[in-house]
Amino acid sequence: MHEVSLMAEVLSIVETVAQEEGMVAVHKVKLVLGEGLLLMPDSLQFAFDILKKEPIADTATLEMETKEGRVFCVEYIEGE
Amino acid sequence: MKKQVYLQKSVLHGNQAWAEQNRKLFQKHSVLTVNLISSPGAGKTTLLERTIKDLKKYLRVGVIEGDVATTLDAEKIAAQGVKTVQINTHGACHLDAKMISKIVENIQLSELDLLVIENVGNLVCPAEFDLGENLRVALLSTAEGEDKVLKYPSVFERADVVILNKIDLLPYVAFNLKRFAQEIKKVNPNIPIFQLSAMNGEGMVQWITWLLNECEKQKQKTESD
Repeated sequence: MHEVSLMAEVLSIVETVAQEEGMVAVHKVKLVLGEGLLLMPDSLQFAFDILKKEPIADTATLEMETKEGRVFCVEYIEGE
Repeated sequence: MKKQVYLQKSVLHGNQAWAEQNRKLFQKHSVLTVNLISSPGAGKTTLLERTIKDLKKYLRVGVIEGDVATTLDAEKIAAQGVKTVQINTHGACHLDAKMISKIVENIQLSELDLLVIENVGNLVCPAEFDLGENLRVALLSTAEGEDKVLKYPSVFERADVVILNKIDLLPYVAFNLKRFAQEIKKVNPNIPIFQLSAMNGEGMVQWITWLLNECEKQKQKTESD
């Protein structure tokens, strides 16, 4: 239900880290998603596609891995 | 140059940081803060009205009302003569720690013993967002059915106390008390459970006594720090 606000948080983390690392473009964002959080991957993907923006994250793709428990983290980002 | 950066960073880290800051602030003023969560219509506001009525001669109470829209609940609570502030989330399904942090600026915490945050009526989303509270109360009403504990486990798993409301309706609804207790035990084995009717007052004494005791504990905690 709150996938959009969570994705906004994800992208804010991604952009901050990319800038710190001196990246000009992020190609991939990998999320780990705990089943216990009852989040919907489709909604997260939808929010990602809408919220990702220039100049850093606009061409990024999203990969999600579901695990047991309540973890919800950005595992890694890939870019240049 | 292509590279991969591992961060393992929790997405809710931002909310957690705000929550810890809130908790410190509540502790500093020795205010016990309660986050009240239930589905819409379970009786959060009625429970709160009754609780305030019974408590206000012992404690100074303040309330933060979270709703998607309107100030109806805040008006009801303010009619009890306690400090009430309203947060309208304008569509958001839960309160988060940052919203609370912003609104407590308008509350004189030093003039309170107990602050109750009535979350947005929703049995799913509020569970994931720590507001910086000391106690999380999960409220269920008999009309909803005992199966909600297993259907929406997060709220009950992460609560500090469970209240079953509307026990005056037990003769009229198919609510299995025994199964309710078993299912709570499955998701949160040692949690205290109170059964009451906020409407007619049955069972309120036990809940009020417990809450007064928790406020006392919070005060002692602040003094010993």
